[in-house]
Amino acid sequence: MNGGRMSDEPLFEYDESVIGVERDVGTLEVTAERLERYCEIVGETNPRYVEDGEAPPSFLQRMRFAPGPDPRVRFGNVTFHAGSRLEQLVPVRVGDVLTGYAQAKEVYAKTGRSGTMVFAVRRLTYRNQHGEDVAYSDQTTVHRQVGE
Amino acid sequence: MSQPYFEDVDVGDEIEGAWIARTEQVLEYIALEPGGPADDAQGRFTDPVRARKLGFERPIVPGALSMSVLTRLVTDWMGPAGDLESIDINFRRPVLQGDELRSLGLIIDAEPADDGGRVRIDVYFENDRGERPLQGVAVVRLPSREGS
Repeated sequence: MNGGRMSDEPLFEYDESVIGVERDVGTLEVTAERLERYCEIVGETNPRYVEDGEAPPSFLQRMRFAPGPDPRVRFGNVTFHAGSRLEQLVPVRVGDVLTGYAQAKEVYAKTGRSGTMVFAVRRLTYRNQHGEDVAYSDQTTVHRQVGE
Repeated sequence: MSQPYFEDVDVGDEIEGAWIARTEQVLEYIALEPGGPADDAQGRFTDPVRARKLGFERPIVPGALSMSVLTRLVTDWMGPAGDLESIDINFRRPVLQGDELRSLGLIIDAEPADDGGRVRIDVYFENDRGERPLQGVAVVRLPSREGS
């Protein structure tokens, strides 16, 4: 475990050894059935997604891969999902087979008026059957102390 | 579905939609991938009693579903020939089930490119309490009329 001390703030710790280490978290196929169901639930209307077999960008974030490396942040008593970023490089279509590569990208602290928060950013890279990176998804969680 | 072209959009143009975060939709979304990213080990998405113990007036909506619906505001607007290149969302407050939300987009930048042009869009939800639970930026490539 490693970590940092902010002036007059408590120590936060995390497992630095997993930062930047990419792990294969499984391979999934984009099926017509699953895509159709997803579009129906979310209410997609763009014909690219509802007629032409292309997956909406947000569909990728609904795919269930195995958990990635965990930086095991030790700070505070509350953790919540603070942000999500998706970058799409190549369209994904029915029949594509995607492999997920997950990594803990960074852990850092910020101190503001409401106290100190520790951010952990995890990245999932989606790679298709041709070896192309088709999308990156970054998820940010925040750890903070609420109350005493 | 109409197709916007890069030449037709201006900084300051607005996009608007609406969404009621219904419980049935949340349950269907969770059922897409049991054990997946929106799985509900804490009960905050599915159990009113446990949600209240966690400090929520009502069960909340998974962030991934809220983000999918806000993303749809952009993908509905960009038409079949537009490309969503990235979307970056901050979760500022929970979306409660039953909330009536306006989804809004404001074009803040437009740059021509060889393949049409790129527009940056501020996107957010506004709930019936005047809060903005999700807020972020999307980047979309639009085709040019000359290239069509």
